Amino acid sequence: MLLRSGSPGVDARSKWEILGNCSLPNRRQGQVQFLLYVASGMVAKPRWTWIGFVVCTCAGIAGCVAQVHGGSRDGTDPTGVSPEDREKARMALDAVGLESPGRVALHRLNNLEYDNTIRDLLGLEGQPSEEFAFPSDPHGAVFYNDALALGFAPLHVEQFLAAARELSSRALAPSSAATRQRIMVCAPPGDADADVRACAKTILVQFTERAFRRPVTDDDVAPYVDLVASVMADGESFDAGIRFAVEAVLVSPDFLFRVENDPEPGVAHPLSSFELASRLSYFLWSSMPDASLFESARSGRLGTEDGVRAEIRRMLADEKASTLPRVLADQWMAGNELRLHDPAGYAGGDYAAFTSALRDAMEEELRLFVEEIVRGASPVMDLLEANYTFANKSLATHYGISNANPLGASAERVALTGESRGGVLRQGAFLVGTSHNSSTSPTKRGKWILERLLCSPPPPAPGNVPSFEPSEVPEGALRDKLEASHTARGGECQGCHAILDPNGFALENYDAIGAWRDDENGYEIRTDGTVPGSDVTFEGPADMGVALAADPRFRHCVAEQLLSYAMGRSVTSADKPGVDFVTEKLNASGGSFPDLVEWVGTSPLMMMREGEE
Amino acid sequence: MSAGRPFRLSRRALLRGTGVAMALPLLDAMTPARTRAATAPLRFLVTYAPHGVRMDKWKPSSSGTGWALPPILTPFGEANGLGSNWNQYLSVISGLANYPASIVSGDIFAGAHTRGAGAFLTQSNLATTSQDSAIKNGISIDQVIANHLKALPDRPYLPSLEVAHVEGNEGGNCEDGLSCRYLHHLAWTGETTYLPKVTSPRQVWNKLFGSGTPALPVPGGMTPSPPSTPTDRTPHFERSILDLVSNRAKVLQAKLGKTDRDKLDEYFTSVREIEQRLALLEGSTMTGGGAGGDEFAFECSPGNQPTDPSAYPAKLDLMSDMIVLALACDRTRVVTYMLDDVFSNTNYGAILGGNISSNEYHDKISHLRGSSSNLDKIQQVNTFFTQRVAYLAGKLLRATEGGQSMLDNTVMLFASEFGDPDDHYHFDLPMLVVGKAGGRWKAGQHIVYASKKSTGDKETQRKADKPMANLFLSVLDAFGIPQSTFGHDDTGAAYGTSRLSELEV
Repeated sequence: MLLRSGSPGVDARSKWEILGNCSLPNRRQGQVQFLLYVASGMVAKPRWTWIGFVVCTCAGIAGCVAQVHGGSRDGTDPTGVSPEDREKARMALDAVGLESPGRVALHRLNNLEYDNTIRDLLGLEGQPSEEFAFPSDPHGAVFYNDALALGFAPLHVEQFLAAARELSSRALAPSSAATRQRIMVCAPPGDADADVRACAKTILVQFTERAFRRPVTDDDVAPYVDLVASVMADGESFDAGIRFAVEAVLVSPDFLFRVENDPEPGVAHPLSSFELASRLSYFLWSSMPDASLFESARSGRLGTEDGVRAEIRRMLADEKASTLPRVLADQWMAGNELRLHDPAGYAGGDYAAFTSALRDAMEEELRLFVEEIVRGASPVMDLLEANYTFANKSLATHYGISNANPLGASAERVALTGESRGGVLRQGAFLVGTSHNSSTSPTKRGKWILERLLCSPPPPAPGNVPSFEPSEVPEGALRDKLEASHTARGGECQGCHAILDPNGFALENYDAIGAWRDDENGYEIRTDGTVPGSDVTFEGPADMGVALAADPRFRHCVAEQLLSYAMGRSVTSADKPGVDFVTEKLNASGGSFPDLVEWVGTSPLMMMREGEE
Repeated sequence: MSAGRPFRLSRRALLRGTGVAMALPLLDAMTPARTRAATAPLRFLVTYAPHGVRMDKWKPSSSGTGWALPPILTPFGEANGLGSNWNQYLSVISGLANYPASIVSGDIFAGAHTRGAGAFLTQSNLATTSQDSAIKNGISIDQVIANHLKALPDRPYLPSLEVAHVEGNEGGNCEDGLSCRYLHHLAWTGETTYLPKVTSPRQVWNKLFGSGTPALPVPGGMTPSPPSTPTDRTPHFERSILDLVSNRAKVLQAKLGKTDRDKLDEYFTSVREIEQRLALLEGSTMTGGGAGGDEFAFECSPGNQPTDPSAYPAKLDLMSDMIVLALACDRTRVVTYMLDDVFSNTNYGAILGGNISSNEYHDKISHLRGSSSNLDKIQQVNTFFTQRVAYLAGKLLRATEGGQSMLDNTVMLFASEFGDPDDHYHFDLPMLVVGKAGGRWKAGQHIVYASKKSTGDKETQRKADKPMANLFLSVLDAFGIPQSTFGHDDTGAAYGTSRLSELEV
């Protein structure tokens, strides 16, 4: 396996280390929570970085657990555990297979992928998933394309069948010459069964190869040809027969699922070039491969890393790649969170300035910004530190920024001079998306940063969180009140919020709708703090962005998120070497997003698969 | 929908009425079709509203019979509800507990909404995960019944119908590290498989009576195509199609690893189900001619495909109309209906007015937060939902079949994911039973099981509560489904082990 990068200092010792002890007093029956750290730096003198939190049942882990490293959530101090026990824990975890490329489950097309695939396969514009009311897609950790989560219920068959019936009719309608010609590549010279079958086969071989995204065999096509014949035997026309066959193709598992074969169970193997072509096209286009990509798969060009790299560059430049930044903006960045905020709920309140027009401008800003980074060869670090944004007149006014040329109703690229704006964390989508209607939420903002940008999800909230009662704490800014409240309650509250809140506090200069404020109703806003899980301090929002950009977890997390989306599965601890591989390439390549996309696309996790019994 | 006489429907009228040019499957209502049983079928209908109930205004003031309607249940006594008949149909059960929602991790509050909703009908422990790919639950009571009905010779067209006001598509972690799938889905066909809900009354109608294209303008600029060739043979050919693709799935199965086989099995099972439905439609075509006759006359009037109202309460009532239609036409006998969702952020101020302001969503007022006025507000919201459920019950009451009310042959439940909204307890839940279960259940009761409110956080003090799983065993009894336990914890130990004898005749 080629997953090890072998760079000095970051090697096998940077494994997960589970820390905790079943015998520690804990209030959760049969469970203990483990903080996870990763070692970095010199082997002789590792630096432990907090990266996560897990809950394990005592029964399963009792034999190998060692020590609480750092403070635990309930405030318990570390207790001494022998070095031997710690070593035992580490060895137990080392034994877990870390060098597998993993496997992506049989992948049903999600709604976006279905719509785009229909567009490219049949040449029909529109959103069938909305028109035919497909059930909405479930989520993985972040993205809507997690193969394991994408299920199949009778309602899916009903809706897919209704869509297939109608879409096949539209594509073959005599009035739709362009779409009809794509499919009807021949006409039977006569009514003889042999003539009809020969022509049907020609049509259906060509159609199924595109629909199934791979070469087809006679056995693959025969049932569809038989269907045409049986429809015609029932007195229907050749046209009707082909229409039913196309309908059948559109509900077949070979179309609705992306299938990857397992030639040798238990063994990691390179994907076939057609399987890889589909992985690439659904990663970059959320759609099927085009003719050129199929040709690359057929000619063997996808068998080399350079060949894959060339395809990725070509595909990123294609207009169809505009779907990638849109997905990333909505699902990874805070586009979807923004849309959950209905301007109607703001009318008449303190933040009535949040109108539909302003929300649209924020959404457009985020999309154009992510598009610029993903496809404009901009550095990944721009996500946090960009000195430009995209605003129309009303958004610029809301932000208190100006442009050399006067702005109008449509968004334009605006060069930023001050520090009040720059990067997603100082944009409306994130700032509104993680606030309440009538106040900011440093906790929600901080949690979002930990989850989405550092891949260090905070521990789950304990039950029975007492509600925050403003009357209990002295007057002051929100931070003063929250800190006083958490201090008063101590224990679990304090432990968790020490992780959740600091990054959010840094952004308190932005109110619930993302406008800048120097003070909070006359109270001083304090924005200093330390990035949780590190010892890096910051003063204010811009400085916090700098600190996050310098945090090694950030690049690692960007690689992890993109890999997770590209593969359509969640990234687990077993994938760490694979994520390290991409992170190191990203660090070495100068850090542009297209470079990152290339490294993800050519990473062992993307190009390989482990078979299963 | 007007109260109909026993109904015959011409195909032509249906095509005209809908403006749908697609081929429509022949419906039971058009032909006498299959022979009906001499007695009406039993139906199971679950209605759910989120955020708990103000219990002091929900519970009848005395146990047994002869109580007056408590404030939140007053809509059932109104004319469009059950009117003066309410005490022949309503029972309140107090002191039931949703144990799997309560005792996981020993912390009775964690993920209260999500565990409460997810385990509501399954009475099984949920895997603690925020990733939709790792969810684990158990089979729900409605699906146990649906599976039973599917195997009957006169199975209804749909084994079950899942409807809701909102579908819900929030991110993975809904609450305390628990997946949103638990919160949004009551109907579970297996440990990892849940049934998506239909949220448009128009789509429900289509599901029941037509396979046509949407007649409304569609988003995304897709232009409606010219009508496809109408052919009565569409269901026949589509059966062939489904047969073809399920064979494809079998061929594929052989090449795949276990995880992939499991995924493909979800596909295969779903395709088979639709195949069987199409077979029913074909079967009804072929029977024709009134052979056997309808011993049991249904007042089934599909009417025209409705237009979805834009207003929230109107939409709920139209959804109720569709449910009644589905039951009256015997298109299904099992329905789960989520009237709202914990995360829907429905603006109750706009609907109910009064003291509720426009930004006070359900969750905001369901917590006391030191304000007694919130009690009045949550009561207003609770009553809003009982009005909707009373409307649905009233329609079932007035729908007659073979001289009986459909409500006589129905088991309808109304509940929430917990009781008192402020403490989020899964004990002493609000549980309303409507209907007589075909004469198998005693109605008009307030059955009270011991439940002692504790001040601490130790659930051990609450073991007095009766497991809700026991109620479901009584439901299974009513349906003649022999099952001795219901629901289970992580070790496989059952939560429900005996019936609610007080309920059964």
